[in-house]
Formats: sequence, structure tokens, C-alpha cells
Amino acid sequence: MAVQPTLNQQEMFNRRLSLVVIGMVVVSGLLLLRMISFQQLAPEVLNELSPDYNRTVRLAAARGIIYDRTGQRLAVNTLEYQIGVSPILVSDRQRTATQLASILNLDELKVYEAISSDQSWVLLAPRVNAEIGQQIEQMKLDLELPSVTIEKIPRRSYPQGTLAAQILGFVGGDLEGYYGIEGYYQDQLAGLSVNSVVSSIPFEQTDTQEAGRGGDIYLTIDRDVQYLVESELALSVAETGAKGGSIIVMNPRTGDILAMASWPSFDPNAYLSVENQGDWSNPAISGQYEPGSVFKLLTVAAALDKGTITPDWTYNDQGRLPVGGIVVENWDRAAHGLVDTAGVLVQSLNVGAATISMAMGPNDFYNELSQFGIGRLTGINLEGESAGTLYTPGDPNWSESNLGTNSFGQGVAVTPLQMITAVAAIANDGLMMQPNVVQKISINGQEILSQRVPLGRPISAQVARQVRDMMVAVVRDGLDDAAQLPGYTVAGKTGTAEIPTPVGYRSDAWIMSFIGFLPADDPQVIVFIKLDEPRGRWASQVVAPLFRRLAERLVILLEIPPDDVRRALESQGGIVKGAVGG
Amino acid sequence: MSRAWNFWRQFDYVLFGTTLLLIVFGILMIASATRGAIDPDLISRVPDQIQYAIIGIFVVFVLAAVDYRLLGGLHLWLYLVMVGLLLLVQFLGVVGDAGSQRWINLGIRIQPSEIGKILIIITLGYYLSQRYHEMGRLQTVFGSLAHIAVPAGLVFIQPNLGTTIVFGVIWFTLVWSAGLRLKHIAMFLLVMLIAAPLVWARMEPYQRSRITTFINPEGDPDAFYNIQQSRIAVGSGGLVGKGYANGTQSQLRFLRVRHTDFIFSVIAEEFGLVGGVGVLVLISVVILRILRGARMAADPLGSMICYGVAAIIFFQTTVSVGMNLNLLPVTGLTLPFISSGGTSLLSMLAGVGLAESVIIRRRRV
Repeated sequence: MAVQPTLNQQEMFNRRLSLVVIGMVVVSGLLLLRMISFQQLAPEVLNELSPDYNRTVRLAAARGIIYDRTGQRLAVNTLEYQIGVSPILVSDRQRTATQLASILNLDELKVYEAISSDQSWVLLAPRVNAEIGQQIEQMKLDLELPSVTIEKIPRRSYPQGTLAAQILGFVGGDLEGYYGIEGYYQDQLAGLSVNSVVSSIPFEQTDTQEAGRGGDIYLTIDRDVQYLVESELALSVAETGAKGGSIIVMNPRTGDILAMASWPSFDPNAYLSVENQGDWSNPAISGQYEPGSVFKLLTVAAALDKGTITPDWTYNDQGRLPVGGIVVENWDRAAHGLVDTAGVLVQSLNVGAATISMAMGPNDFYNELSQFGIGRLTGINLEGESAGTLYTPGDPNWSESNLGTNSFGQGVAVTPLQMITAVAAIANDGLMMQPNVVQKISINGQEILSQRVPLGRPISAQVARQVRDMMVAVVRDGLDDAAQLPGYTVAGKTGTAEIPTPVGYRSDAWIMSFIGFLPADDPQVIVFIKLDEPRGRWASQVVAPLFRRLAERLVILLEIPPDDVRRALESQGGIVKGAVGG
Repeated sequence: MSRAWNFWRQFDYVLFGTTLLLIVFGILMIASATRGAIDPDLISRVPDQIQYAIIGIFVVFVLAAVDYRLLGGLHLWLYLVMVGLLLLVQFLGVVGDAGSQRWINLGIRIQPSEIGKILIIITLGYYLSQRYHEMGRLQTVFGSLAHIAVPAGLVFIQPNLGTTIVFGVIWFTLVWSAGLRLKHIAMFLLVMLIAAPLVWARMEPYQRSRITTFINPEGDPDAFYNIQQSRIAVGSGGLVGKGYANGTQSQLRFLRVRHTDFIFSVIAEEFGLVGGVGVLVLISVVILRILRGARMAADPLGSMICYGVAAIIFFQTTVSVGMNLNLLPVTGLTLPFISSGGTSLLSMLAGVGLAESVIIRRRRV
């Protein structure tokens, strides 16, 4: 009877089977309920749980490139990578640490400690170059490391290093330009940025809005001239122990700045490493100083223009002149007797200058200075220009003595740029051009050329030529040929200015400056040099030789022929143009 | 002639067709889960799965054609082969992903624990079918326990907790269907309670962490991450899902081991509730067809085989889906027919083949 137990077996089997099926149905129902509860989560709970697939990013346009006048790149764009890690997402600490440390060239133990921390995110390398960044990207992709975060940071880079730093300015971490060209032309360089919603889902097409490209800027700055000027300035500062200084090289015909440098400067690639944030500014356009005797050029030119004096005018120098309660004295505290107009400049007589300004009277004198742009912004296309300080009658700070002292550059503060712009009017037959550092801006293939803007005609062409001749005499007779460049006629004037303090002028330090242009009869380049507190007593001994050294190289770089060559060519009907002429 | 015709007439086409449907769907999901992968192991997953599926279908027909009673007669040899293979793992094993030795390389890489799951059904089923009338005696129960303890122990020390539990499930379902007495069940529950701390002490750290993470998910950030991501994936699928290959969680690699352990999350994310339930319904059809075979089987051995196979499929599905739904700890068990993994697919298809063999030779009523 083998059948019976088998049937029993089968019956029990079937009975137990139905129990099994019931159990399965229950378990399946449980799974189903769980799944429904998951998938019917309130959207806000789900949003909180799920990573943000969409994010709004500001697509900054590629910032415009800055070139010098010959097309050399002064400011460009590069990418840097910021590498971080989210320790909570690291699955294999040992391996991740080894890989990251080797690519980032970091200490493996430090990386391991960093990714073992309980923070949600750790910065490993704030800035690595594109090559390393791409290696990390590849590693993240290959090894599926969701813990590694990579952020691309656009960065401004200045391939010429510190060259022209104060003209260029820099771009901050917020991608905004500060100081100089970067600051002044922020909008044009930055272009239009676009807000775009970017999905991190690879197959989801986001509306690809292309951000516009920023405009490229071509400067009037000549890299070679700028380099020459910066190295001469650095050398002079070292030689004379000066605390600082500025040099500007300009074309008086157009107002184009060819070079502009101040000491100390900074490296725009590492703008945060300056000791003093004041170094970011450009003292050549923002630094005010009392100009001293250079200012006599303006006094004489103004008086000639007003007809107060003529080149033949003379006065009897007694060495002292009381003005509004103070007494003006000459640099040598001596009386110079009968002196003519040119003599006031050649011998740089304070008494003579004050005699002239007194003769003009405050109205005419300050009216003329104003026409020379003293106390006003030149409007140069750089950020951070200051207007200088000129008190005029009616101002509570003005007193009658100012009329006397202002005539030789005391009690008045100017910027180097104002000074060179004003004197450039003398070089340019009386027409004062607005200083300008931008040749053209190229936006979307369109080129916008800078306009050369005349700021006015403070003096007539005739007066300009008369003052020019006197400046030639200054260099020839007054400075013992210290500023004279063989083969060229140089026009110039020195200034040894005292440094004001709240309790009077310092007696131990001076600001020494020289301003000169050449060739005197057809000026193509004008140079301003200023040294702050150099060793030595007179600008004629300290700064004038520096001008000569600089001019020697400048005429070669700018291809300005010596006077005899130029005249020979001119008499043959040839056209001579320096590099600057265009 | 008529025998062959009869053979194919008895073949369960619903079971076979549903299985095929699941495999094809699985391959599509693996393709989605490994889309855009660079890792050569991931790239080869789809072609590997297709290759194993073809071999597996061949295995189904071969096993269906072979009389399961013949295999029952070979129980001793099968048992020795199983234990031998598991021993080989100890000596020649390939260290796998999590530091455990599960693989051996015999020309192709095979996972003896997966083969063992099928073989143990035959050998244990044969053992019990010979002693069904002695089930009231404790020594029969202990005999069956000893029978399974050797291979299960070898799997446990690999270590492979998931498959060890599967062995335990096979044992329990088979002895229970063979008529295990309720008093014995109570006794075993007591023993398990006592043994649990000992097993805990023997467990690998990663195995323990899976359980502790399940109980306290925020304790282990890494495991918590996996659970969190699967929850987001399943939850964001909604009713009909985000569309094939459009699941953000899987495509962006937030989900890890998405082609095996978390493939159900990929399905639920890309096909939503409909897709998830659809897969479960198809698997239920497979299970019910096999249980139908158990009920119609010509002899206790046939019932046992069908019953064991159905139990494995059901258990693994429940554990895998439950894990994806944060109901159960992460064990590394695959979703039958769907998850990527050659040996796992082969052993499941071997199970289907055995069931077909039983169904073909069913009782004529």
C-alpha cells in the first residue's frame, strides 16, 4: 500500500502550499504598499531629498583681451580649477586619497585626513591649472567618484607680469575689473553675461544661450616703451634712494599715452599679495603733489597769452618780494638784478614768477590756469583719476599770498598727468589734447577708434612757440646740458618742489621733476619724470640726467631722427614721421 | 515521434515565455544602467548577459528533457560536486568586489554558491522525499539540517551572507513542505535566537554594517548614501516613471551597483509604479506557474524541486525589492532574471529547466 502515504503527502503538500501562496500575497502586498508610499511622496519632501539637477549659472562672456598698440597681449583669460571633496560620499578613502594626492601633488596623509573629516565638504586645492584640473576630471569620470567636486574658475592672467600693471588694473574674484583699464572699461570688456538654467542631466538639452564676447581693447601703450620706462624708473629709484616716482611718455600731438609707470607697482596676477592696497592705484593719474618750478612754464605762458608780458619784458630782481603777508624768495636767496622773461625760467626765479602773477592779477591768472586744466580732471580713460587742488579767490582756503606762491608751483597740487597734459599744449602749438590710453576697441568684429579730443587752446600758437624757445634755453643754459641729448634740440624745465606738511614745508626732502619734449621745433614726444624724495638737492642734478638717459633710448624706439637728418630730409621734400606720428 | 510531440505539448510555455520576457527586460535595464559607462567591466555587462541568457535557455531545454528522477538518483554525486566546488572556492577563489571569495575560474568564471542553490534543491529534495513519512522524528530533521549545513557553512565563510540565508530558506521551505512539525518549528526558532549572537560574532564587518545600517541608517554614511539614493530613485519615478534611460538617479550615477543590487530602483525610476508592479507581476506569474507544477508533480521529489525553485525566486525577489524599498538590509542578492550576473541568471534558468522537467512529467489526472 504505497499509494496511500503518497496521497497523504500530496494533501499535506497542497494544504501547506495554499498557506505559502497566502504568505507570498501578503509579502507582495507589503512591497506594493511600500512602493506606492515611496512614489506618492509629497513633492516638497522629494525635492528636499533629491539632488538639485538644475542650477542657474551666470554665463559670463569671455572677457575681452587687452593688447598694446602693436598687438602684444597684455591681459588674457585662463581657466583654473578648484578641487574639493565631500567626505560623506567617499567610499574608498585610501584609494581616493592616493589618487588625489598624486595628481594634486599633495601630501597623501593630509588628503586622507581631509577626506576622513566629518565636514560635508573640504577644499583640497583652491587653484590648480587647467592641465591638472582636466586630469582630475578624467579621474572622476573613470573611477566614478561622486565625492570629488570640480569647479572651473575663469581667471584673468597678465602674460607680461608686472608690466603696465597700474594702467591695466586687475580683475577681482567677482570677475569685476578694478582700477585702470579693467575698471574703466569693465562693461565693454565683460560683455553681456547671460543667466542660464543648466541641467546636470547629460541628455537633457538646456537652452543654449551663448553669452556675448567682451570687446578687445588696443591700448596706445607701446610695450617696449613701457618696459624701457619701467626699468629706467626702477633703476633711478634704486640709484637715488627715492621713495617713489612716476614717468609718463606721451605724444603731445594726439594726447596718446605711450607709457606710464609709477613706483612702487604690483603684480596683477597676484594682486592680493601687495603690502599696501594703495599700490593698486596709479599715482601718475591720482597722486597729487606740489609741482614746484615746472609750474612757472604755465605762469609765463599765461602772462604772455594775456599780454601782461612779452618775451622782451624785464624786471629788477631784488631777491625778495612781499606778497599778501609772506615774502617770496629765490631758490638761492639771492637778488638777480635785471632779468627778462626767459631768464625767469632759465634761472628759475620765484621772485620773477610771483612778479608776473601779481601783474596779471588773480582773475586772469586763475582763469588761465583753469584753461590749462589745473584743478580739473583731464578725463583720461582710466579709473581713479584725481583733479588736484587749486584754490581760487572766493575759496576760504585761498589767500592773497597764494597768487604769489602758486606762480612757482607752491600751494597748488597737481597730478603728473595734469602737468604733462598742460605742458603738452605748449609743445602742440597751444592746442591741449586730452590724454588717452586706448587706440581702439574691437567688439563683435566692429572696431571703434578712439577720438582725439582737444581739451582747449589755453595759449596761442605764437605764445607756445615763444615758451618753447625759452624751454630750449632752459635746457641749454640753465641745466648745464644735463638733459641735453646730442643731435636733438630738447625743450624742458625742472622742478624741485618742497613737500608740504601740516606745520610747514619739510627742509630735508623734495619732490624732483622734469618735463621735456623733443624735437623742440616739431615735438613728437613729451616726457614727464618725477622722483619722490631722492637723495640730492636739485632736480637739475638728479632728474635731468635721467631724462637724458631715457630720451637716448626713446628716440631709437620711436624712430625720431636727429635734427640734422630730419632737416636734410625735409629740405628734399621727404616726409619724416616718427613711429608716434601715426 | 509521438513521444517528442507529447514532450513539447506538456512543456509550460507560459512559464518559459514569462521568463524570457523578464530576461529581455532585464537586459534593457542593464543597458540603461550601464549607459555611458567607461569601466570595461560595466561596458561588457550587456553582451555578457545576452551570452549567459542564450546559454541559460539552452540549459532550460536540456534540463527539461532530462528526467528529474534521473538527477534524483544521482543525488550523492551531485552533492559531492557541490561541496567540491565550494571547497575549490576556498583554495582557488577569486577575490571579488567586497573582499569575499565567491568566484572560481574554470575557463569561465563561475560562482559555485549559485550552482549550489540549485543542486541542494535536488539533493535535499531527494533526501526528504525518501523520508517524508519520518518527518515526525527529530533525527530526520537533524539529518536534513546536517545535509544543508556543510554547503551552507562553506558559503558562509566565503563570506556570502545573502546566499547562506537562501540556503537556509531552501532548507526551511523544503522541510516545511515535507511536513515539518509545528513543535519542531518552535524549537528551531528558539535555537536561532540563541545562535544569532554567535553568527553575529563570526560576521565580516561589512556584513554587520549592512545590518546596523538597516537598523540605524544614519550610522554609516556610505551605506546610508546607497539607501538614500535608491529611495530618491524609486520615489521620483511616480506612476509611469521618467522614461527609459531617462532616470536621473541612475544615469547620473547617484545609484551605485545599479546594474545588480539596485536594478529595481532603476526600473522604478524609469518606469515608475507601473514598471515596478509589472516586473513583480511577471515574476509572480513565474512563481505561480512553478507552484502549479509542484501541485501537479508526479512524485514528492518533483514537488520538492518545484517548491524549492519557487522559494528561491520568491525569496530573492522579496529581498532584492525589499532592499530597494529600504525594507530590508543590503545583502547583495540579485533580482531573479533581471539583475546583471551570469551565474545567477544561469542558476535561475536551471531552476526553471528543472521545474519544466517536473511539469512535463506531471501526473495525468
